[in-house]
Amino acid sequence: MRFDVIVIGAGHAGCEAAHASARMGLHTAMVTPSIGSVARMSCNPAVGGIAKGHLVREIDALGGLMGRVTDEAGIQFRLLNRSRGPAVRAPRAQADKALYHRVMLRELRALPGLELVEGMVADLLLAAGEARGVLLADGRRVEARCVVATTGTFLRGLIHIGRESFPAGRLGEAPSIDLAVRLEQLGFGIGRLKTGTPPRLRRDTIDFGRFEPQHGDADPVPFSFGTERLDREQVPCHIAWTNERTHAVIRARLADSPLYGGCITGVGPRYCPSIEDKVVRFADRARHQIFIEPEGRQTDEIYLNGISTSLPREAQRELIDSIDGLSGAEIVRPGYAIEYDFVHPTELKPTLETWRIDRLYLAGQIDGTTGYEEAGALGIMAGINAALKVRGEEPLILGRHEAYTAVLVDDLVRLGTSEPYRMFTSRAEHRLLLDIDSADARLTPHGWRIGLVSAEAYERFLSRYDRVERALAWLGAASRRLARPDVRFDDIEADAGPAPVRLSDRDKSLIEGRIKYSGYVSQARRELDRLALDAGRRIPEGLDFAGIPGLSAEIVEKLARLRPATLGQAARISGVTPAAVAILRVHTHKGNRAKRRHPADPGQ
Amino acid sequence: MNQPHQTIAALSTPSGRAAIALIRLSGPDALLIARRLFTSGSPDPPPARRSVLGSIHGREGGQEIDTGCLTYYPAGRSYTGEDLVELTCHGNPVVVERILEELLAAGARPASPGEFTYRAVVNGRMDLAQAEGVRDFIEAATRGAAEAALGQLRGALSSRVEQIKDALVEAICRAEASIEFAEEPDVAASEGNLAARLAGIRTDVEELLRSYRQGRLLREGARVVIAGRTNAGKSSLFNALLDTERAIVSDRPGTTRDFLSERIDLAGVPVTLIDTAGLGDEADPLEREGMARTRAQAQQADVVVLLCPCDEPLQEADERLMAELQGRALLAAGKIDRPSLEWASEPRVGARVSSVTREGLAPLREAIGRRLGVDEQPSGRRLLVTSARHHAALADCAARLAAAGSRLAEGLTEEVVVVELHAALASLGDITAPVSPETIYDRIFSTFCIGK
Repeated sequence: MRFDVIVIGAGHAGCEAAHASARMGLHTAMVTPSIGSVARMSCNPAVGGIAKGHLVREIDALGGLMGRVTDEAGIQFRLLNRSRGPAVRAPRAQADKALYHRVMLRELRALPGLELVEGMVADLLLAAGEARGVLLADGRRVEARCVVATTGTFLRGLIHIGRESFPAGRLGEAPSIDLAVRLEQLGFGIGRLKTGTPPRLRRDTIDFGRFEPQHGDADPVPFSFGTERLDREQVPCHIAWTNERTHAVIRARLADSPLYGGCITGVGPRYCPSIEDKVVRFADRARHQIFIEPEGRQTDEIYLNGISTSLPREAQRELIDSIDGLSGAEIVRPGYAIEYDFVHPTELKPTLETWRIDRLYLAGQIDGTTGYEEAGALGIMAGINAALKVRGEEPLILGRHEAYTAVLVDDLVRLGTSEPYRMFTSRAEHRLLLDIDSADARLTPHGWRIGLVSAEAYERFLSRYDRVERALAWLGAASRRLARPDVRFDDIEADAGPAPVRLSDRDKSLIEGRIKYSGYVSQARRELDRLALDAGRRIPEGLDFAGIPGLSAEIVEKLARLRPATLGQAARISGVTPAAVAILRVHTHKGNRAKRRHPADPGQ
Repeated sequence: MNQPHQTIAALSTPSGRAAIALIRLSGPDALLIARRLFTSGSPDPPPARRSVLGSIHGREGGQEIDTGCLTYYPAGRSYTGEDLVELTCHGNPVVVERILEELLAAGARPASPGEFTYRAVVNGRMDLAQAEGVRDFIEAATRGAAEAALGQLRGALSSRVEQIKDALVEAICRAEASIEFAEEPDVAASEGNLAARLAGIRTDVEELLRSYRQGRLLREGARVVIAGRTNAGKSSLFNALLDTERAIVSDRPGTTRDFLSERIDLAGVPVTLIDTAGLGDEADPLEREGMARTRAQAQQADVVVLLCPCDEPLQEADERLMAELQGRALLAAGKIDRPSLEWASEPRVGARVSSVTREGLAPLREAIGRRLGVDEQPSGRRLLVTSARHHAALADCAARLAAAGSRLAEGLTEEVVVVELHAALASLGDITAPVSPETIYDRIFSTFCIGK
């Protein structure tokens, strides 16, 4: 079998990578051990949230799938941070897990250039320092010009439940050992991370009457720019609380916890602690909140958000019994912790291609991240850049002021990570520029240029900004009133009459953001303009840092290892002094001038 | 300069003849290099932080150069944080030069100016403010300035700035948590009054800012000009003040060739005292030229002592100069050993002095000090901001905090307010060390139980 691009894995990174590559016209294979687990939500049945919802909007604006699929598979929608400004508002949805899988699979199957291959990858095919394809465990060879690995938690995955532990990629699925060994042999820097998941309960054994319900928004805000409205009945979540008895159970069984018993070496995320961690680290809290989330409209499984645990099964039983409303509920699947290998993301170029092996791209949890949304964002960027590489075109590297996706990639490849990396809005130094409403303005032109955004979506984008510009012109002097924090676009219309163009809520929100932040946005733009000149200057890929006089050995070592693509990236490497950047600047000039003097240049 | 794999060497005492001279070596090979030209009967390697007597010679048992001492400070507990060796020899420039030549031939390289302290900063032995304190301490010209610099070098300013930084990190942590984790009950339960928190921080920053006037006086000194008509007794007063004050021994050339000037320690402030040409007959072209120069000096001065003999009436030129200088002029009645005219008892006369009897010199000194704004409190007990760089950073920080406060008052929400707070924090970071974003996350996750 021969393809342009092979994507290993069919999780949230894999789906976006395969979709992007195929939509960009490349003959693409997505290899997964089981087509039944395409786009499986291994953990919570939710997409989005603050910063994560921003990422989904960006995936959508670039032409990716996650937003559209969530809109279709969502059963409850909420816009978070409504009381704050537009930059930090973000959508979150409860999804029907089974439906999410089906919709994603339908979308992928509809792509003419994409083939789904069932099989376990046993090895990478390599030649001349390049990835040339994969070898499947059943002996089949699949060849390609680029390989994108999105292995999630499968690389040497090891599940812990109490003192019991066994190799697995997810509960009930085999891990990927051979590929992990291979990556290690190739010299990749490999680390170990940990994550966890709570027990799932049977819906009809829970006493929902004991909980406070939490409903979706009356005017749900969609994820995708292409979704006009979300007309459907929404499903509530519920809020329960742990109590002192729960905490006593946990404390009594801590010695049997793999984490506190010392069985786990991987590093877990601080922002997603297990209930054991919460009880130990915040011993003064009398109770902790549990969100009771349905895994689907029909499914009978309930997800207990907030009590991820790896205590022994019988301790989980006691824990559940201690909670008002859950006592006696049937545990369908126990909670567990999982340890897995990741490749230190400083091994990656800003295109997500590895420095070590050409044409090999890594995306998703293998890069050291956590979360469906982070995986999706990395997946789409890896898919895009693999496709551009096959097409022989310039890579797509976004700027930190352009997208959270860029902040994610840049933080990872530049700084690496020692715990599962999660996006926060505060990781972006230009947060006010990155509101969800403007994601299309920032990214859709890129998606259109590379052939990922459909003609229909691009038309929609153009007409939206035509409306917005007309509305801004109509606002005129009233924009000063709209700049006040408490004034909404609707208030202006209430006084001045309706705007001459029909605006959606999202259009109004975009206009409000533009006006309310305009001072900060222009200040940020000025700063960026000043920096952009220098920061955007490319450092030639083959530049020999050791040969540059005036750079210390320490800086040469860092530059050679992290190989920044631009002066801006070099400047942000810890330990690289402004003086060193000034020296580098001279050498990028030299490189650029040398290029212009190339003998083949007809101008010479 | 940033080449920590290299070992550096330099003479740390002044060059010239002296009883002893001290040569320092810092870097990974400091001990290795020093031992190539030092032999003693003591155990090898030498004990840490204890002086060992031995012979200093050419590399590998070469010709003996001097007898001296070696002190070894292992990495981690040395000034630079690296392996550091101090060689003490006799203070003869010829000897010192030979030892340095041998050290360089043995693998060291000459240290750039300030490089030992630079390495101490790089290795986290001190922060930027402390390093600047080292420089100021070495250059301090008076006891007061030395006391202020010693405080800074010991980290008094740093620890105050760190306290304020910590309070700001706390405010940012709470604001950021309320944005990022709006749904978390733990965060919602703790929402405090951000405005009050910020006002408290701003008060602290402004208090530091106010200390700069005093700090700058101590560090940069002041210019005091003695002016007055011809034969008012200016030069006698100049000399009388010099006699009673400690003159500052300085290798700096005089600030002006046209005028007699000396540096003295006046109430802890390094003061440049300037004697000027007399303000006399404006018709004489030569005198006019001298008077123009005197006026120019007076314009640059922090205080102008306008000396008028108490037995002569005040003249129009005196009145004009006082009006021009306003608060900087200190009217002094001179020659009070003679019978005074009435004006010399007026309240606007700031001092009455006689260079002959030396009467009134101490009150004059005090009056100058008051006019300069010298704090009555001994400077060593108070934290002072002495550097213009620190002052600029603090001023920027205060401005950002003020902006954050008005944003809040306008009803803008946290995501806008924190833009200013991050900028304020970055300004404080310029003084000591920058705060990494991870510090904020560490604080958030240790303060709040977050994680659905």
